[in-house]
Amino acid sequence: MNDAERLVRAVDGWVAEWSWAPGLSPDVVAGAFDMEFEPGRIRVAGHDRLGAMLRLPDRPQPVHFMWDVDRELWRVDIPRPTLRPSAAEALAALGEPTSLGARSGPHAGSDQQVHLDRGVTIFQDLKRGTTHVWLFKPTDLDTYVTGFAATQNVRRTR
Amino acid sequence: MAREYASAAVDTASQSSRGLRPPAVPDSAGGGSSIGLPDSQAVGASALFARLAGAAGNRAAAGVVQRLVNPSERNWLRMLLTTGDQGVITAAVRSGAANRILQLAPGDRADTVGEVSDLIPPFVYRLGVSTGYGDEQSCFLISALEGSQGNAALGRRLLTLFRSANPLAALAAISAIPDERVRAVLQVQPSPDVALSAVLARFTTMTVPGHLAPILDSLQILHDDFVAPDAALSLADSTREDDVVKLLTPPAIASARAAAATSGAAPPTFIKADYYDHLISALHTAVTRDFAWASVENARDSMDTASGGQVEGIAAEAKARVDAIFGRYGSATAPALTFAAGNLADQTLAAGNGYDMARWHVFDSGGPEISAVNTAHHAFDAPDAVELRWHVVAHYANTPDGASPPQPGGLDAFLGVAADERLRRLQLIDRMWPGQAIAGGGQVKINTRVGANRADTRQKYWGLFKTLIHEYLHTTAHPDYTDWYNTLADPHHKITYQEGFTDLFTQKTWTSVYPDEVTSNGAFRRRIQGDDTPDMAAVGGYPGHYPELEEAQKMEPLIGLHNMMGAYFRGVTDVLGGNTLP
Repeated sequence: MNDAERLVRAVDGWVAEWSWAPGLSPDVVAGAFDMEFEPGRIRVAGHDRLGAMLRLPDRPQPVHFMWDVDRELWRVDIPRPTLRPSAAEALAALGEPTSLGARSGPHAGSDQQVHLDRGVTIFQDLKRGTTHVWLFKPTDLDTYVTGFAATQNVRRTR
Repeated sequence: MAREYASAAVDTASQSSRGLRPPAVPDSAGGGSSIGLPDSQAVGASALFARLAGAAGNRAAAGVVQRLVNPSERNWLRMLLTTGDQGVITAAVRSGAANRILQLAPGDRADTVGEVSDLIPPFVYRLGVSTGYGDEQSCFLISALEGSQGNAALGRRLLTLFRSANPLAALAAISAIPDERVRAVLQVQPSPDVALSAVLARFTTMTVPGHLAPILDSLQILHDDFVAPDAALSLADSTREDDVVKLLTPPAIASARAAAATSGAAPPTFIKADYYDHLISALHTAVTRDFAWASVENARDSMDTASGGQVEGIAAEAKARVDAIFGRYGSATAPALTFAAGNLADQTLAAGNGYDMARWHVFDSGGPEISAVNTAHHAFDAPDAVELRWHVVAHYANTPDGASPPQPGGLDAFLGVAADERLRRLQLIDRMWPGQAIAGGGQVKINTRVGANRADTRQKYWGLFKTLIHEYLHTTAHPDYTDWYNTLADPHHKITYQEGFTDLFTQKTWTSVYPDEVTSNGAFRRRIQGDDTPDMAAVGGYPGHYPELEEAQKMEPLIGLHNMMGAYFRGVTDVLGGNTLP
């Protein structure tokens, strides 16, 4: 399995198979999912990135792909995933996470279980199951928290 | 309808494109002579203007203007304007009647109104010239007229006035226009710093009337901002620190603490008894109210969310208007919001986050019911209270957060709504929430529902424009600034910097377009509401805001707008004070 195929599998729910690799540029990702797109400029936690929101077959909501400005894959946000082969097996395969708790972050109410060495975060509603997954390049906790604004809550218009 | 007015100081040759030519305008003293009208006739003209001033909106004003078709009244008006009865002209323009005439949509304007429109500007400039722009009232009239133009025309006009024979006309023109609008219309001009530098140099050899001196100062500040945004920043000292801490302590808490200190008693502490019950009841009241409107929203159709469609157009307009003011401070580098790139998303399609909706109500909203409970229990900056708030969030949203105890028995009966239903309602409110920014996701999420009818939908589009100004501003905040306020423990303090500052900049952006740009620029209206119908009821007034806007507004004179912008957009947090807040 090559890197692009591994990405497709991870997006499909095989998150324990995910491992970040260089070269997953927008063009490579477009080819892997058989789609045409050109990412646009976005800003995450104050840092400039490239982003593309892709509607993939059989996915209930679009998947957000983000790259560094040098076009290396930075993060993939997958809403409402179906973990495979099962949620329990996927979580077991990922190992012991670092938990940032459920009270803060972009998906407050779901425990933010970070696998820094695997580049996977599972947002786990403690009553209802997985709500969201992030795939990214393995990193340290400080970089994760600041670079992903991982503990900042949603801000709302009043 | 963008208009440019000629003044005596600039160009007397192009004052009117209509058949009725205005008189030559003197370039020195001499304006304001009366033609000696009988009192009864003068009163008639004044009354006409008074009726205009009392008219609300274009249609009503147009109806009144029809009276000008009456030959006798029209002639009196024409004579007054042509020969210059200063009292009547002054009354007319100061009352806003002239502005209303100028803001009429082309279709509403009778030819007579056009004549009036062309005749008024030379006369207000005559008033200014006759006093060497030393008279505050006449400068106000000039500014009211110039300000009635759209932003693009006003920006070009100001540059023209900068280069004119007497640049005092530029100061007069700016004198009653809000600073943020002046900043916006000049900043988007080519090389505004060069233009400002040139005109400021001219004033060094001129005597500037005292009432215009602050305007000159504001132009100097604007110039300095354009050239070096960081130059005006000043580090916080102990005085600023004390002022900020005092400001951000709620008045009820401050007075209770002061009273205790006076009596020699210990300051009031958190009253834990019944706090949970009172707080969750207050949350329930707020959620019940929000669920009512969210249910109505949910039944409506969606706006045009296609790539390049109307919603993205509104987002682009929001960015442009914010950047017009704050672009040089750093906002301009923030990307546009688009569905394709994923930094703009339709929240109505999401599952909805009930826990976060409850969290926002309890911690961030500053809503009246919850604020009242916190005040009554002296819950401000009390760690025990913060922990109980989390319990309320988890229990009300029927979502265990791993750190709160299980929901107490009897809560469903206490609230009268079952746990699953509470969560469902919260999720729906979250899906219908007007706007939210997710820093960690790099996204602005919006409600894209239309209104019940065309007029209601126009109102929704203007509401979305205001929302996107606010949310786009969030995306422009420097990460060092957000990191700084996220270290604050008390929600009131945090929300002041997170939302109060954002609301302050939202209001300034709105001030730069409302009302004159909205009424004068049909293309702008079309981009927002989908047609160019002048419908000020749909436009509405200033954007909704957090209670903490008040604190931010009080901070502006206390620590300075430059420092607030420097912190927010450039991450220079040492200028803020507030480092000793809990």
